[in-house]
Amino acid sequence: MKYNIDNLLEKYWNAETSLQEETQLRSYFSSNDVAPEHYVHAPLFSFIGQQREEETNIDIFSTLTGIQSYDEIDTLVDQYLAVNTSLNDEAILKHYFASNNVKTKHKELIPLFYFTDIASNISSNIDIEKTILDYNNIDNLLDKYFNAETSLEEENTLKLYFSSNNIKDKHKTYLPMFQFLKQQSSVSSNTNIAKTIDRHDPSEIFDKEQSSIPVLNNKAKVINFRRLISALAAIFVIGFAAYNITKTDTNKEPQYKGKFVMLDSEEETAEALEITKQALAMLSRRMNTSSKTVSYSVSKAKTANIFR
Amino acid sequence: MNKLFLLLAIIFMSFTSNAQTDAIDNFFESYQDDNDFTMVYVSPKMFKMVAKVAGDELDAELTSLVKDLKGLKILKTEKDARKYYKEAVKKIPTNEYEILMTARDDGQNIKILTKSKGDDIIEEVLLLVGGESEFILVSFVGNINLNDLAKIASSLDIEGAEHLEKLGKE
Repeated sequence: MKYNIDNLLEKYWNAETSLQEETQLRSYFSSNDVAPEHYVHAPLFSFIGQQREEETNIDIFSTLTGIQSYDEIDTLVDQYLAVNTSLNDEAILKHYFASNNVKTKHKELIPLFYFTDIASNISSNIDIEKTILDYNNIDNLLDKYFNAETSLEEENTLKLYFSSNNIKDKHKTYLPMFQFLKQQSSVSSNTNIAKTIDRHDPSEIFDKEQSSIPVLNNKAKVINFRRLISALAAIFVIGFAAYNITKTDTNKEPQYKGKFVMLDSEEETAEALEITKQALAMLSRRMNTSSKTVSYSVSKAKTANIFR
Repeated sequence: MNKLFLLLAIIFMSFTSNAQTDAIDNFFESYQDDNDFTMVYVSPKMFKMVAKVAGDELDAELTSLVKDLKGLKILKTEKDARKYYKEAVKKIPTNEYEILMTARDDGQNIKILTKSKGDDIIEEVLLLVGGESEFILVSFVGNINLNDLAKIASSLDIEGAEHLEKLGKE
């Protein structure tokens, strides 16, 4: 034993000890069997022990409750016994008495707080059980639920049960499903107008109306668009027929303006001849505006045998 | 109706693929779908049919001219006439076409150009008319005898038609 402690101390000075070995050392120095040759080191370890205790105390009370000293606990206890504490103060007290750092002078009060803690748990259990009757009933309800035979009320009971903290282990497999359903219902209730109308009073519906108007407008647009399409189709058919009728008319008296006309069928022969004649006449007439001719290619005219 | 359009499209495609896709063809094509333009196209097939009936209805000179024609394209617009006239003149490839004459008459610019094969055979005659009110581009394709052309001017009895014939007698 002694030999072992010597080894550990050596390692400790060399900063080579594991956490386990350090706790071993600490427990040794806090025990009553410290060997005389180790007395020298005892103050150091007892100091370290104190430091750790203070650190942990400060940790818990500064981070969790914001209370710095035990004096404040005293005043809180006084207030509590005088029925003068806020809920927050009571939570702090509960936390303090549930912790392992209760001062000896407060220890007599632990049973009191322990009891209130249990009592609060019990009362909450009773509340839930009141609303959902008993766990056998949940089994029945689940059976009915999966057979799609539950009423809305019974489904609400199930939802309530699965959102509580007292779910039996055998029911926990269904928990994700009910959580999912809960999420989904919260999502859809934002958009489902029918639901909001059912649940809320008329004044709220009036407020919601503004948001529901665009939806209705969209429907109206769809209908109008369909009507528009059918109207367009009708116009197109009529226009097409009219175009065909007028086209047969224009075959007799053609009007080319603004059109691309291609003459290549036998019925159009006379038309083609007339156009060719006009075109040739135009060319001939332009050629004969020679009184105002700016330039005339004589050599070209010669090769074309005009002047022979 | 759809069949007709399909037929037109096919014929026109075959026409464009067979014909020399020169600048003038492109010019016609680029405006054939424009509503501001009137375009008339008489196909070579049609000229074969026209040649059969031409003799019954026309005098000898005109008949011979028509029989030599293989294609006729007319493009006309009344919008931005000067602009399109200038554009057309710029697009004419000067190495392929020779200017037969240039004239200005009543505020209208007139250009007649020819495209020749060898010395005597004219393959195409182009007529461009550009004024304030209208732009006309006519393309006559075929072996066109300018002498006969001068003659029809007199037969159609148009003012100043004798002028060419007088020149011819000189």
